[in-house]
Amino acid sequence: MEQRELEQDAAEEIITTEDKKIPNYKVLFLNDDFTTMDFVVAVLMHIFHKSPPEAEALMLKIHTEERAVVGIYHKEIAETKARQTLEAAERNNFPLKVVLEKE
Amino acid sequence: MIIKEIEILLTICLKDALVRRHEYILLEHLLYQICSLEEGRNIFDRLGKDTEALKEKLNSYLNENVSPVKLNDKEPLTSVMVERVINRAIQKSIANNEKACQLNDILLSILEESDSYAAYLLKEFNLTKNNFKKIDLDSSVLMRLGEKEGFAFAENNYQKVQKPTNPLPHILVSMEEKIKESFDSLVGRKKELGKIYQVLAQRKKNNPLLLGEAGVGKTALVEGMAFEIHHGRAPAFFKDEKIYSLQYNFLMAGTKYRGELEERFKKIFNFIKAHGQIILFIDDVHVLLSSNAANTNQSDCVNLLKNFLNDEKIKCIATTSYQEYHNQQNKEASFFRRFQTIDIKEPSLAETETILLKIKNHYEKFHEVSFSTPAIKKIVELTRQYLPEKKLPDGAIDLMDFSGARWKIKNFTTNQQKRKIIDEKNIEENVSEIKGFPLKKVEKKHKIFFKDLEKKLKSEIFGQKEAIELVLRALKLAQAGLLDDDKTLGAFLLAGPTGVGKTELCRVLAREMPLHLIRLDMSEYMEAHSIAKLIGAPPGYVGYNEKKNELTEQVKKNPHSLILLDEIEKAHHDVINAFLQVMDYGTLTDSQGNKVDFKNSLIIMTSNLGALEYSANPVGFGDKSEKLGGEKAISNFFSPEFRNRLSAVVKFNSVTPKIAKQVVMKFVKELNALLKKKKTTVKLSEKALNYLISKGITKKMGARPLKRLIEKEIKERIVDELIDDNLKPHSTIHFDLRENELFYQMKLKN
Repeated sequence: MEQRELEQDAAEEIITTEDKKIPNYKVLFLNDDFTTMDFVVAVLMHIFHKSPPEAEALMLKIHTEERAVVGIYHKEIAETKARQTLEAAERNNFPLKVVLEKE
Repeated sequence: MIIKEIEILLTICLKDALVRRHEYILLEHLLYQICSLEEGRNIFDRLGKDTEALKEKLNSYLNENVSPVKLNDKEPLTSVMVERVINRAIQKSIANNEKACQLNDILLSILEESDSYAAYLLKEFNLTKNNFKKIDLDSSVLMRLGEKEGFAFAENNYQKVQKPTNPLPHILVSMEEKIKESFDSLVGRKKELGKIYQVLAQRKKNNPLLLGEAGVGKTALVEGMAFEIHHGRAPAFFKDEKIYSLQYNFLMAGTKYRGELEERFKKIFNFIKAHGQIILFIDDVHVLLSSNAANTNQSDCVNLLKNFLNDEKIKCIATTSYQEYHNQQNKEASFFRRFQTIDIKEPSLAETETILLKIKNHYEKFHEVSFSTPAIKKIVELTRQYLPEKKLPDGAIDLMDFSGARWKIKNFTTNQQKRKIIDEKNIEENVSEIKGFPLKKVEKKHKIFFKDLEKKLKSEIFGQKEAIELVLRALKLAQAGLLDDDKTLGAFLLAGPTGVGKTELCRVLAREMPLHLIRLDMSEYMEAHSIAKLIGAPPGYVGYNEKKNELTEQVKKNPHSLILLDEIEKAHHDVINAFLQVMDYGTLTDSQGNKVDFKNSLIIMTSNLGALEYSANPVGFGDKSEKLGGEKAISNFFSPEFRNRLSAVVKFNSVTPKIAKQVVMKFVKELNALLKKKKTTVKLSEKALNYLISKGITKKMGARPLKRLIEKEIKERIVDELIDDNLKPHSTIHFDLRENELFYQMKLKN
């Protein structure tokens, strides 16, 4: 078992040294029929620091195109923002869905 | 378990994120703090890695890749990744039956996070899971964390990279920028500058307070200091210091709610503290203190400043004037205690001259004129002599500016080549304009001037030849520079019966010299306490701080004055004694302790003493009334020390019929001057003239009743004629006497 772990480590090392760039993650919002527009705008402004017109435009994009990228971040930030959004949606009983995509 | 120690570690990360104004606690914060811990450094040392290089990389990542946001009192959130790393580390230590979760568990856990910079960096440093696994640590590395007091905060390192920015640039103004905009240059003042540097370099009480009258150049001194520092001429110790000036009025402006002001103060102080190389400059610090007295809501201001000044790291230069300092010192003793006072004296005449010569090019350029060197000298001299209420060099600079501006208005041409040179003469004219009397008369008091003066006096005051000559002789002495330097121009006691022209002499003298006439009716100074009207109310009494129209204030404003103390014998003895000092040393100390210079003033007292003796007809033969009685009365009334200090006692003769005629003629002349507008003249017959003399002028009352008589007998009578439109121009009104009464006739001029 220990042997296997060592091999795994070695493999990992090779990959990371090859790929020196840290990838970005896209945060996407998916459209649904229950989450209010106001809520989405508020989330975009407060968590994603969008200006009111930007937030409005993004919300409409989600509405018409079913999904839209609301931000691109490093993984740790993307994850945290996604969780913050989901928590806020849950508190307000909205079924908003957030998806992360590696670039 | 070990949860407590991990919590401490996370709190440190939280503080770090807070300082950097980051929204989340990231894995990089965590790794950075681990590197800052002694235990963390130990681990990397054992693995032969450079902790500092690692920290440096993390720091630059955090500064460059994570943008600061407005937190608005929200705490940074722990990111999902950090939570995951910590949980994994704890679970692993439990699974491995370790006693505590150790730092290497956390580091291992970080390595497991793919796509994170922290893990990437560790890998870049050639650190693998094996490295951390192999390491054999003391059993409870993390346990000791809780015992530690201070942790290495990112704060310190963070600031080395980047100085904090000024949070309120309109309130805290950089002097460097100000001097770049306009700074004329600082002349001399080496000694004072040295003192300021010395105080600033001290460990405690490193706050200099510059004390000096308004206009002596306190602000210019600090500007000069900023200039020196900026150009590297200051002592090397100060080379990185920056002077920021606190704009107090802007600090207050727009603070709507309670506490807003304090918040601004705090922001400024935090900035100064964090920056570490700022010298705060508060100009006219008394403004800040007096606003405190007016509005108790803002008392926190002074107290905040006090606490701030307590900090040794903070250096503050403040300025104020002597008077404000003395006024506020008792009230705000604890505030001033934190300062070391440095006196800024008025520069000497020669120094002022060099200052003016140095900066004159700025004014020459602005006004498109040039000032000759003698003109500059004259400016300084005349400022001192005629505008003593303005301090040097400010007053002199003002006069220079005034002269330039005046010339520009009078002779503005677009022709560039016709640049006018301003000389001494122009300066004299300008001072005359400011002061409102022709300066030439004062400046050139030669023989002819005195001869003219004598003629003028004699033509207006009749029968007092001796008295006029006596006064003029003393004035000539003063002009010739034969008087003591510390005496007044003269102190005369004019004694004589009423209505012979004592007050008139003063009026004419003041007009012709010219001197500013200050007339004090000494009958208003009958009580001992009325001395307050001369020198101001004593401390603790109503009106102490109000500068009213006291004698001292008036003389301060107009040093070239004729002080007429009318009817001196009616004043209280204490009031008279106050003038002893003036007559002897030429100074009077007011209730605030300021010495007022009387050296350019002329004191004339009038008195009716002896008048009674004049009117009493002496028993026996001959006319002795003129001499003996009056002298005795004067020596009885005034103490010997007072009489000793008088330049002369001038006795006025009582009115003789010959004088009386002249006086009547003078009054008629005056009347005719008034009537000139109506193109009418008044003429008196011999009889009418004698009637007026006999009725209007008596030995007892002098010529004073004459004025009333002329008013009644002549002016009131002809007034109807004058307002009548039918009055023919060029007519003459003849007065004659009929049955012991005046009557008049109108005659047309041929």
